[in-house]
Amino acid sequence: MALTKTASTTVKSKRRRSRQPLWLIYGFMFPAVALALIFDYYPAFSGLYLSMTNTLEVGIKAQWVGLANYQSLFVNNPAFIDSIWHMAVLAVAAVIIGTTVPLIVAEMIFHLGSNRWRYAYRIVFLLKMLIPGMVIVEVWGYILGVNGVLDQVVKFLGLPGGDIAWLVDQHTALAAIVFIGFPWVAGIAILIYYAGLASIDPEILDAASVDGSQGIHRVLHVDVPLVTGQVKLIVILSAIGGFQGYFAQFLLTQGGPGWSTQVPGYFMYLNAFKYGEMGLASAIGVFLFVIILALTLINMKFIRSSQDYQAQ
Amino acid sequence: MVISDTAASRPLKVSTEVTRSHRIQLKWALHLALWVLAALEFYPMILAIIMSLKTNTQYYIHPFSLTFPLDFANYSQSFAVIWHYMLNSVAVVSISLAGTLIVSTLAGFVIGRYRFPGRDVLYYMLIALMMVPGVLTMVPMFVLISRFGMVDSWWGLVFPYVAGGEIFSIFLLRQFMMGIPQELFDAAQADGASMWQEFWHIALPAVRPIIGVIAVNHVVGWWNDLIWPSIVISNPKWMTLMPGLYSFTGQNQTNVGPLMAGYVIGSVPLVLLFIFTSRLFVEGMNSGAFKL
Repeated sequence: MALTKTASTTVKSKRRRSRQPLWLIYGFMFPAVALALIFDYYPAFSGLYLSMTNTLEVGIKAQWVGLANYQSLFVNNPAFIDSIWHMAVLAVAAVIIGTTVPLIVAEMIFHLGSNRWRYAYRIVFLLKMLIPGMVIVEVWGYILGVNGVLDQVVKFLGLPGGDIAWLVDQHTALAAIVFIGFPWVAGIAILIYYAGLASIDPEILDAASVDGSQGIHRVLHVDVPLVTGQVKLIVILSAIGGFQGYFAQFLLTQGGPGWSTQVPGYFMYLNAFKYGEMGLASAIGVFLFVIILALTLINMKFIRSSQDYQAQ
Repeated sequence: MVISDTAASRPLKVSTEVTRSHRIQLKWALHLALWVLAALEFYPMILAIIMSLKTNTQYYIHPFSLTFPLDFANYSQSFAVIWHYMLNSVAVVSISLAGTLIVSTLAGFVIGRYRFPGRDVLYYMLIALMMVPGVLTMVPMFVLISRFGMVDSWWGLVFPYVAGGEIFSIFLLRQFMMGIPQELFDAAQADGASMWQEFWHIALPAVRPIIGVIAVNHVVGWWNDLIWPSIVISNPKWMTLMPGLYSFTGQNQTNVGPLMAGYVIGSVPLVLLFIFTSRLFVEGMNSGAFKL
């Protein structure tokens, strides 16, 4: 940020800048602005419009129906309300897992002391981000499937439940989706936390150890309060991811069995591209947009804290 | 600070021997735990590799454990189908990346270095789009590209990718353009450099590191994209890798060996890319946290 400030003062002091012909400056801006208007702004507003029409598919004439799509979602469709609950469960799970597990792992890496090992472990966990999510989710289908890896482990340990088809059983399917990705040591959150820990003033840590604060005690009472900025950021990021995502539904459960893993995002996809209900699908898109916009606005309040770790 | 240091130095020294052996134990425990976590985290990948080396008979008897002889024929069988999708992905990602970089460096340059009427309005108009998530625009975007006749063509991927990718790129590039020392531009202007020459010879070389970060970030996202390209493209001739693997999955439900070999092959290119760009990648992922 300091960088930006010094730069803007230099720019201001140079009056000569305006010597360049304006048409050339706007020429440089034109492609970016044109693309943004056509492929970002137009779809965003036409989504709002579509959500108030009874558009079925592309090319079919449609009529203005006002809020009828919203009414049929929120008033006449208890199943849609159910899918919102599923989404909430998945988002809450994503937030809890996403904030705690990477923090624990970042602490473990940070306590190694050797900079080379610290870097190596961060790289290893980051590497996971490169592997296509589709491949990982498909393979998890085999782990959680009938007589899959999980079943075999459960049987091997002599526990009950070794014959459960986790993704096909109505009572376990939603939990199984949460379980995908275990042990959830996602790369980016580790980087964020690690940078937060690394930017803690070493004098504070020295003082803490002098006061006899060590191990878990230090983590809970010294480190965690000092990385609250990072915690907030990751809460928001995980929540946004949890509200938007429907990868496991798309690849493994198709929202089933029955309706037990259905979420609004996937329901939108189905309505738009399988059921030929584009107007209704757009209304779901607008609904998700409102939720995510609220979270993003909260996120922007915390963006300063996320810039702090950028220094690393 | 100084006072507490000296006061505490004596009691600390007494226990040095004990704490040191304690510390080494702790360190080994941490290493062990991290190795276990890494093994579990990468288990799906390991499992895919194990399963990719099985014949169907081996799979039906021992689906998840390593079986011998290893059957490498699955790889050539899958590659024969997948190489085509991979080439398509390379093309789509390259075109999209070139487009995004051209469009966003031009805009980032003038926004960061010049004052002109409407600059701030245009800038905030672009940046505000960071708050619009993909879920809102997916359906209307499909309607739009249908109108443009871009369904079943690469342009139906490239234009949305560039329009989506330019936003965050301009945000980053503007900041870096502003950070270039003015003296460089003054010297160039004294030599009679045109605006284009300033852009090409001074601004672009100066922001090269952040361009690398932006590029790596976008390549990973587009390479791994599944849902949008599977909506846009249904003709196998134009299909990119992830939807290609998805339809490959549908065709090989009972052919797990080749299926897993396909997954492994599809994961390799980005890992190779990573080997050459790990530093950029780490930085890129850090700055990626700004997205939404």
